[in-house]
Amino acid sequence: MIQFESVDKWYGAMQALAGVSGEVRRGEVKVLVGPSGCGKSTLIRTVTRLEAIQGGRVLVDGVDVGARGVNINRLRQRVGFVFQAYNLFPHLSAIGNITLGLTKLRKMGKAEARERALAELARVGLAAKAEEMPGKLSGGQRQRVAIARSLAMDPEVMLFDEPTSALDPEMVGEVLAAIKQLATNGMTMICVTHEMGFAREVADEVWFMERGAVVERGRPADLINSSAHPRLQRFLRTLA
Amino acid sequence: MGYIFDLRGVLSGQYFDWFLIGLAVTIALTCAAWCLAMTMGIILTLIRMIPFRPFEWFVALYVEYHRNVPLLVQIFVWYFGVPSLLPRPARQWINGHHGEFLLATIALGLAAAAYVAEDIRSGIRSIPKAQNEAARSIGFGYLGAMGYVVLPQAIRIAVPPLINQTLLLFKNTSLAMAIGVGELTYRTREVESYTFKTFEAFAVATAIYLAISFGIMACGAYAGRRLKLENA
Repeated sequence: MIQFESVDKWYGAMQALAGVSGEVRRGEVKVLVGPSGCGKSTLIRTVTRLEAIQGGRVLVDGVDVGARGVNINRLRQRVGFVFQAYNLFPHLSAIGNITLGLTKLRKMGKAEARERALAELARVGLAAKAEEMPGKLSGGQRQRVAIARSLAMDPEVMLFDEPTSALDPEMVGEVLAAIKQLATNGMTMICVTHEMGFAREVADEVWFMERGAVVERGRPADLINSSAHPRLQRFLRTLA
Repeated sequence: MGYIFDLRGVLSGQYFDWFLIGLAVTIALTCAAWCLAMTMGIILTLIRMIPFRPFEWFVALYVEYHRNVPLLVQIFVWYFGVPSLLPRPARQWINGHHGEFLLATIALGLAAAAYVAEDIRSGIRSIPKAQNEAARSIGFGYLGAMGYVVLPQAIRIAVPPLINQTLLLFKNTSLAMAIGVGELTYRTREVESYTFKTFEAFAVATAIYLAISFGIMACGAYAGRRLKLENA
């Protein structure tokens, strides 16, 4: 589904990604962990060309994301992206945030779009908040609306960029529950997170990144409990 | 001493009508110049968004000229300067069609457009880049993200300063008397010179200007409250 082929990314003289390779198969859940600044957010942002790359290739379903002539807007509809800071549209209600893409991009009728949006809101437990403006919602609720907004476009892959890092601790659970449910239903996803309990539960594979490279990868149970990966263990201790 | 303040003299008969006619011209001038200012302001904003240096320079030059040259001079340039550059038939047409009103509208409107363009631009700038990114991530192109996500928010932010510009424009219309536009200040001078009731005449004009200014300010305060968005 997604392939990284020795991806290089530079910010001026600073190398953010150094020859990252890897593959995410359909239905797989990958969790990216690593200290801040290691390039894990940058890596998932390359998948929808939110970040341009200077070397290597990123393929989605066999299509080179950076190639000339790729319809990037069409591709982005197929790859959902959830941001750390939610990025809901503050001038639209919760349901308006979701129907915007449906009516303007999918050309759905208003009634059909509303129905679809309500179904997505119900899926994340927020059907009752449909008409609220984002400013009136809690952080956890906003992030769940953001997830519903992405899901409404019927993505084949979901990318999560630290979806719970901006939340108060008591709201982390509700957002993780929504993501877990997606994983259980077979959604392909890459999730950048510091929640190791979540990684252990849902990840097929954990990639540990440092200085722009994936330095360890493996099944969560193997990685987290093993003493064979001293750098990862040191990082995990800083989280605890 | 012994001056007796008496409004009856300036508010009776034809003088009352002169004030009304002046007020009507002031409002017409404000509305016409406002429409021009908004149209031109939006066009300038769009031109500036095209990533081509000479366009940016043109808009920057436009804004600096209109902000730094006294408005009265700009009005004189349009009234005395520009027609002399035009061919004779065009000049005659202007003279036959209330040239002073037309040229005052252009001068006031174009000057206000510079400020309108700045207000809209700072509205757009104040929208976080992440909003654009979120719209693009759903699959919107540049225009879709701009039209459905960035501009609707930018306009909300720009409305209070734009109402402030409207207020300034309204007050600036009084400068048009210098080229003979029969607006409120011009008519007030007339009433004054016919009645010799200087203080009363300008008291009436002041009251009218104040009443309309307060009305515009109240609209601004209301819009500011209504359109305020909480971050999300």
